[in-house]
Amino acid sequence: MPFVNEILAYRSVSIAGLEKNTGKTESLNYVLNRLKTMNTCIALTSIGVDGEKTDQVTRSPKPEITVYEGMIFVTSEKHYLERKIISEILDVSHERTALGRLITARAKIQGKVILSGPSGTAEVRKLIENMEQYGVNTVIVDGALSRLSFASPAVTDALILATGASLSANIPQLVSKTNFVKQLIELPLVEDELAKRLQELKQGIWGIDETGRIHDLEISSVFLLDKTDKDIFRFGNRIFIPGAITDKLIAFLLTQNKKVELIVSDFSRIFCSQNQFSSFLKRGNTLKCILQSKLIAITVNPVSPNGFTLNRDRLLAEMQETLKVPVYDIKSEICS
Amino acid sequence: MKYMTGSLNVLSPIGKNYLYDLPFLTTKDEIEAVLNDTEAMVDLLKENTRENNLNLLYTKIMQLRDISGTIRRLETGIVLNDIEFFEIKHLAILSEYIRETVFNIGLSCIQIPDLTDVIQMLDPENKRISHFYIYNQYSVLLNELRERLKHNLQNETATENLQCEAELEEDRIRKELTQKLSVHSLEIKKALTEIARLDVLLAKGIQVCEMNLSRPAIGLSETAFTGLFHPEIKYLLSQQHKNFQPVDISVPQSPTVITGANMSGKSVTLQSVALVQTMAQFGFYVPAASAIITPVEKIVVSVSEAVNETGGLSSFASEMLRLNTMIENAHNRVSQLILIDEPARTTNPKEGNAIVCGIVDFLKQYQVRSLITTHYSVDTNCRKLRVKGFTPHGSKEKITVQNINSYIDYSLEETNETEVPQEAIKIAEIVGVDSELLEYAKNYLKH
Repeated sequence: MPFVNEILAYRSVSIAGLEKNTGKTESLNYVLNRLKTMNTCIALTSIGVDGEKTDQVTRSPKPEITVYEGMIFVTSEKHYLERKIISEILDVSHERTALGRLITARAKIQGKVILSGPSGTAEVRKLIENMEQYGVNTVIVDGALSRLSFASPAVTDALILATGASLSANIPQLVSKTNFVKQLIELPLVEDELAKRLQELKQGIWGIDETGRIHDLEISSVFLLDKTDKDIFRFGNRIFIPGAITDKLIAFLLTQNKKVELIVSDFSRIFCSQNQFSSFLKRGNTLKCILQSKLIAITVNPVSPNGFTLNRDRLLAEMQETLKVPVYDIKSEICS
Repeated sequence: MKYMTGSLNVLSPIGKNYLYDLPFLTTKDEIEAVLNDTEAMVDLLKENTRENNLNLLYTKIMQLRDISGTIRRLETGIVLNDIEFFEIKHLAILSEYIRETVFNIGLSCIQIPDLTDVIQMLDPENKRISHFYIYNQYSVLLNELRERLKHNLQNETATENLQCEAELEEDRIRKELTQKLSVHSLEIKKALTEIARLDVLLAKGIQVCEMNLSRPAIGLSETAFTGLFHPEIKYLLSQQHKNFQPVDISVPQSPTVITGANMSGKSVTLQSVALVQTMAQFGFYVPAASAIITPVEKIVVSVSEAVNETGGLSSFASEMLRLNTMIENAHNRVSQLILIDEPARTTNPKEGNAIVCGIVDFLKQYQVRSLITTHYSVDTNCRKLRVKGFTPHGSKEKITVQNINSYIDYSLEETNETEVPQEAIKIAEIVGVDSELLEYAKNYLKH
């Protein structure tokens, strides 16, 4: 499978599942198994507390990840002590998570471990930077369930998306839902120079005029947008919003009927529905982002947890045709 | 005091704990011992030739972790886990580096015990890096089990069995290792506290150099300061390109009343004395050009803005109740330094005046070292100091809130007058209170 090689081209890669039981853990295990033979240093961690909670709700055991000799992993104190692997502690963090301090360790002989990492994006980013001292080539981050924000390009450079029958039991709908996420991830970028200036802005709403100058529209939050008495298009139709993009916001822009160029930080800030998103684009508006993530591959799990199985070959074919990225059924890859 | 501890650059969390747990020293010998250590550090910093060694110390101290919990577990004989072994190894390696550096720079007052035995136990590969796991070298059996495990990874049941056996052996080694280490628990503990002490000592030394503090002499009966300053206000003034005028003052073993106009620095002087006395008794250098201090058992400070902890009492009532502390101390013959800022200021002048005189008489009776500031005309026999105060010197420049500082002479002089300076209205004019109101007020003064 060629995409495993591509992983090594990035400093950090997230594995994110669009729904529970989309085979995220299998994808991760598959990737690690393939990476073990390559002569390079890999580190892995996860987004801590969130995953833990979800699993306590569904009462399914948190999956164990197989880590191979020489790989570095970061997990909480609690899960480190429960490990089934022979590994050497390299560092213990000063900060604490809900499950104790974070332990950085190197596997001496392959074995299994439960991953639980930092709980916030800023901490994950710091962790990725820290891994450089151990000569790590790529850090793989096991993302929490339906929390795409952890796969944000502000944290990791690239991502692998896991989707499957548990998201939708209807093939066209599953393809369409997955395609929506892919579209968001691959939003076009604004010009480099403008992106650099926009990155400094963390909140508010901003207008960009024809000369590229950025103006504060003096609205502190998108939630106050319909309360403003000033014309938000007074500097032109290019609008930058660093915060969340919601249905309400899109609806407001649609009623203005202006052919807006809406600029967002990255896909993880978009929370609007697929319908709103497509009507926004259909009406001649455009959406751009200032940071982009590389979508390395999509993995599908045709089996849904309630026993329903989709036609594997049709699913792969339709996915491949619509999405135009490599799509893999991890489970059959493991068997074959 | 908060400002002084806040501006101390203590690097490690355990150093901070050490700082907050410092004892309040009451004997000359104890204080001198701590001051000697501080002096050794200050001399070292002033020499300025060992910068590399010092920088190494800083980086090493910054890596220090507070593992006192782990050491306590080691003492009680609980079998440690790998993370705890890692912590001890980390400390031991760090401690050896610091011990060497401390020896090289000749700082003999820090006595870090030798932990090479501990390192040897936890570093069978002899790499001197603070990574840790239960190494193969610990037992032949473990080594063999792991070798077999490596070759049986494809077979799940075999893997599980071997893992189980290896875990048993690891647990046995952990127990043995804990027992061996526990013999050294005292030294490990000592190493941790000595590094914490070094951390605080370094921070103290740097503060002495930066703030220009001086070593107080510890007297047996005399308490007196020259060039006394308040570091926080000095800093704030320097931000506005203004100078702080230091003050000379002595505090004999009897009450002294300080009078002076508003804004003349009475309260600041009082706070500075409290600060210097406190710092000295914690073994710190002090903000004064020179200082001689007689240690006391209690420092009682009563300032007007103190929080009303009794709840439901007026500011007057809670102030009066605070006085009970000093009275109790006096009855129990506890040696104390009492500093009271404008007592009874919130009640009527007639009774207020009487209360202040009463306090002075009481303190005189019990010979208590004390300073009392007041605006009342105290009509009882005691030592009185007056802030020289407002000196416009016929200046042509208009006096405003911004430049008023330069027209006040903050130094103190002895006086026998009972009358206090009457400059309240003048000051009010300068700070810009409406003249109409002040005219009304002046009418009453004429009567």
